[in-house]
Amino acid sequence: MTTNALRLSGLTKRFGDKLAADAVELTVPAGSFFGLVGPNGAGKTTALSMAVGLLRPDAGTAEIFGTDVWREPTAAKRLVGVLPDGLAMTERLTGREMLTYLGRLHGMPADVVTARVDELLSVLDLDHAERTLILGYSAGMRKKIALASALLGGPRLLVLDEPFEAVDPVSALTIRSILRRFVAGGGSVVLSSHVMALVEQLCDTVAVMNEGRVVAAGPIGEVRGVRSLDEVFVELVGARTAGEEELSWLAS
Amino acid sequence: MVGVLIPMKYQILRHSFTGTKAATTVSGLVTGLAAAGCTLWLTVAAGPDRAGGALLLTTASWLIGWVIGPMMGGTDPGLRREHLRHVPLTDRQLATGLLGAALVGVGPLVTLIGGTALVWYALRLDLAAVPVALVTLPLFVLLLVALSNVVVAAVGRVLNSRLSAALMAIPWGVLVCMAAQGWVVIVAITGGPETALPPFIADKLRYAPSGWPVVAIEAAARGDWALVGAVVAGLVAAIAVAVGAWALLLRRPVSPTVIRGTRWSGWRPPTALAAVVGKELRTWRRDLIRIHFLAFALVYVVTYVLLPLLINVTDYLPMAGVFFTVFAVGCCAHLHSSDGTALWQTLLAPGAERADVRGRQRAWLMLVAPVAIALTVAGAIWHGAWDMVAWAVGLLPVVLGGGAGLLVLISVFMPMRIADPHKRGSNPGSDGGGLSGIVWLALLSMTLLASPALALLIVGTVRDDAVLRWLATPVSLVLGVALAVGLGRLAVTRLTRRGPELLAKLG
Repeated sequence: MTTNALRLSGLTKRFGDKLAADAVELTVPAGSFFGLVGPNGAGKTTALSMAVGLLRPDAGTAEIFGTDVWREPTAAKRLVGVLPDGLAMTERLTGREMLTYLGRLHGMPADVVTARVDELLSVLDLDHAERTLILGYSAGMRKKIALASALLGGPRLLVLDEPFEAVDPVSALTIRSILRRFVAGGGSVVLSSHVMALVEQLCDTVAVMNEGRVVAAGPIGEVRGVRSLDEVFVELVGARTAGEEELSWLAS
Repeated sequence: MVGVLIPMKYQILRHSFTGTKAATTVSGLVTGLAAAGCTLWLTVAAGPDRAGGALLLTTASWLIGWVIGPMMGGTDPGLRREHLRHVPLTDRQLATGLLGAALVGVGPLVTLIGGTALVWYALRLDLAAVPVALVTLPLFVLLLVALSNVVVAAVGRVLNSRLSAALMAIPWGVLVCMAAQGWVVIVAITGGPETALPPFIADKLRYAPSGWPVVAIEAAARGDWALVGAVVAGLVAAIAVAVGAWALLLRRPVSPTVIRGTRWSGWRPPTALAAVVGKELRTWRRDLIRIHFLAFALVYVVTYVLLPLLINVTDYLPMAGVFFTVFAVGCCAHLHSSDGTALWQTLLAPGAERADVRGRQRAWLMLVAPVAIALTVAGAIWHGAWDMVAWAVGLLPVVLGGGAGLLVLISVFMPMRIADPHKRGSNPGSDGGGLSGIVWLALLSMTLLASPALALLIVGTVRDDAVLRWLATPVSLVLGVALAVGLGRLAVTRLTRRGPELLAKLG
């Protein structure tokens, strides 16, 4: 019996000259709240897209609860809910229409779909926009409806790419509490984020990516030691911060 | 500003010169150069009395081409107003800068090369007219590019509701159809295509801006330098007016259209297929690009069958339904492309590919078939004779079924990059992507697919054999069903096996 919610081994993807993912190794234990951090262009989105079956890797494997995503896609996709970053949704439908459409597409029974859609819309505070098409949603509403569609099928693993970007503080609290409850109930979450403080608060396990590789991974306490995650991150990715004498012309 | 934007556009063109984009650019360049060559040959080969008329017709067709081209082919989104929103520029600076950038491209280059026909024409008339040709030619190209952009900006302003998306298709449909069916008009006016351009038409063409360079060259040859001065001043003024109008149109960004959903009433039966059909039918009603292209197909075909009425030919009328269906295949074959990266939702639903393809086919048939049948019945009644009925009835099933198959096949195999719905610019018209290639491909493929029924009809008509003619109908029915099922299955297989690759091309 496997205890890994997600296991990536040797996942590689090359776009032209750029190695976007360079033999990515990642193990997400079942029941963990896993944070994936890294600077822009580190390969987080590429790795997560390959992990859930949206981007075909050049090499390597991805397994969800022991099921190979690229060999047995049907079985693997039943276990996972995904929130991708920056992709379109079925934009010309209202929130209720899209969730119902997705529920039917996943082959869920009609009464289950209706009940879950009602509940998701009211919990995520989207039921007041009954006649607004997704196209007209604000950035925060888009994240919430995408989260709702990821939750709809009752997955065992959630893979969320930047779920908190552009989300207002109230909605962010709602999303956090939903995710915490999901993990408490035995689910596993993988999320990517730029915001270190958020990852520190929410996640129990963390991985740092830089230039297509995982440069550190493990329980959050082990990765950061006695320092803050911010400091460890800056050291790991070798970033430089602006010194005193630079940009002296700014507001002088 | 122009000095910054021109190199910028050049870099964008260079970087986007890959894959399909490069192929379309090269094929566009080759076609354009061929057309330019034809123009040159026409002017050189035609007798001195005919060359002027030929040039007038050619420059008029360029004007029409430049005005309607961007709507059909999708403008090159190289540099957009949106990119420069935060740069402190006056509207006039912006318009002038964008005009300069718009000059960098295949279109202006080809027009300039084809336009050397004006220099040839001047050379044949009088050496003194050559400098005039050299001055008016670049001015003319500048005017065409400016006008083209004014039209695109104006359309973006108008094309902001479902009704106007449909209405805007009327002038495009009629104009494009006139360009294709123009011979009918010429025959109607002159009584034969061999006749030289009648003077009264040539006179009208001289008044249009497209005729001005010819007028100036002819005036210079006659030594009428006042008229030359007036025409050059007129060209400059027209360019100034166009740039001014463009600046006005650029001033206020168009606010995005808000379309409200209808009250939720559920989809029955509760299956994946019914959900896709419901989603598609709603999208057809709410997507301005889809409405626009479907309306375009309808307008084009109605114009196509009505134009021959000018010369008392009604034989096309019963075929309206068939023509509409064939045209609607090309105009609708961008299904997955217009949904953009939303494809991930289908890919992550286990085994949903079949419902996706079949649902799209069914929804398209529910939209197109009733209109096609109504057009056929109305056309047959108007025509009033039985001779074309066997043709219409014998072709309709195969084009409907084959069309439903070809539609999803093209959509899955030949994606084109259309901006995602939530990232589209202010102009739905220019976001449409290159459509004309797909329309031609669909026309050719549909003829091939329908060829067994077509062969029976042709042989039956040539031999005057009614049995053979009516045999086309059952053949067409069987063929239509087989094609809808078979080609659809190919699309399902492709989507299942290569779904992620399709998504990558759409993103």
